[in-house]
Amino acid sequence: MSVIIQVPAKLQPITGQTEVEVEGASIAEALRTFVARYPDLEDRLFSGLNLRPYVRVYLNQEEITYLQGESTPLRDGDCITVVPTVGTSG
Amino acid sequence: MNPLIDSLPQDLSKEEIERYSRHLILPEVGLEGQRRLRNASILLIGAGGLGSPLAMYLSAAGIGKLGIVDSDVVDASNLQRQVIHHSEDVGKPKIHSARRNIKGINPHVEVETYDTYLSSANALELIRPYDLVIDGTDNFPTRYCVNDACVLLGKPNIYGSIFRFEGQASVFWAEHGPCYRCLYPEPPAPGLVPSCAEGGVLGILPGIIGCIQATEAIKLVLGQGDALLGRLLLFDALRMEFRELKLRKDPKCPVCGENPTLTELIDYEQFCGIPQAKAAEAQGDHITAEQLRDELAAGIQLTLLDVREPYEWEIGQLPDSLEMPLGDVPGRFDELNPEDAIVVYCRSGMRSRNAQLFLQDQGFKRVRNLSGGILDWAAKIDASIPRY
Ligand SMILES: [Zn+2]
Repeated sequence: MSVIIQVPAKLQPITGQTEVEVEGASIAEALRTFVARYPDLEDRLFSGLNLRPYVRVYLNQEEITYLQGESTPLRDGDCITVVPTVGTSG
Repeated sequence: MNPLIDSLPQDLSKEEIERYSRHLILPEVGLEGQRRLRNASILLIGAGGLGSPLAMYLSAAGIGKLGIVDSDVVDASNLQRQVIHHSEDVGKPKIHSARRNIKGINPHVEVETYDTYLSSANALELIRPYDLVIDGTDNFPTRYCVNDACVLLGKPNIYGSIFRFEGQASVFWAEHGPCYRCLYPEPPAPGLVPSCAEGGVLGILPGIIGCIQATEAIKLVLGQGDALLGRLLLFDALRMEFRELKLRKDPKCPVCGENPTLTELIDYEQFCGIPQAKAAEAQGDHITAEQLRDELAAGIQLTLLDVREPYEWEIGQLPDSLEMPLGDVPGRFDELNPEDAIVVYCRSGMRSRNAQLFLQDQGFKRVRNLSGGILDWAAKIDASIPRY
């Protein structure tokens, strides 16, 4: 399945783009393909094999926790949004 | 949703009717709604980027009482986005310029200012007298503290945050939906998330997000429309796009869940790992600006490693620095000699602390972190470097 990952501003310096197209049958596969392409993302998003607790992942409008987590299957054209904590207002 | 605020029977004065006439002819506001606004009290946490448009529009709209918590003074670097403060206010308390400008916009507004830093010691006391809270803070400990205090007191908390060209907004209200902890149960480690001071922010962005927060506040007071409850609004100024994600109440949320374990306020600095970060620095492995100046003057061989982003290098730099943005360090550290004495620096010392920990993990033995970063260097050693 070909899906789009929306990259938050904090991670754009690493990807150099605001959205990235990846292949994957599940959320886990898509995210692993994503970090394999940008290895500097690995530490930002994952702690070992697990997603860091302050990184939230959405499939379309729904958080994956309320679907089937990282094993949620993907369909062509799905949109994955990674939302890391934004804590500042300056 | 029912209006948050009762409409008191006192009539509006002739001057008020003239002032609010464009509200009064809206059926969703009308005289009754305008009286609700006048009877409402709102506490703004922070008079910065978000606090500025919030204070200005809420006072113009006729909110009866605005409280503002802020202990900062206006800095020149605030003026690009904190539009309630003017050039002549630099160096003066933010609450002074905020009060003056609110009164200038609408003298009917009662303004209460609190020259303090919101913490678990005062949060409940500060928030209790207000009908709703708008979070415009710039740090994680305060954000969690505001959230927990609002949950414990049953107050709505209108959330907004901004970074570079992106913003987020939502309404957290545990009685009707999720809270901030349902979204983010744990704060990130200090230094992993850059602040606006480190990452930059488009000056207009807090205007947009602050106005969204103000709109939500007014809708709650009036009981009109659909509140931004259970929804996280994402705004991207570069794409000029709004998107929306669903937020749900987490039944396991420690403060608003079914079996809350958090029934009183905690030490939020501790919770966010700040004392540990400070203690690590205190343990050594760091160098002050004065020590660095002395070592450089004595001709001691040092590698100065600048882990800031390229656009920061252009603002100012220590002499003969090796440039390596923090994100590049894991891929490029083999450019450094593990035997060399290295001083790593960034803007304020947080990112460089992370780079230092990483290098130490790789077996570098002589890595020191410049305390306070280049800001401290600019303040104490070289005034020609701009503070940013
Ligand atoms: Zn919660």
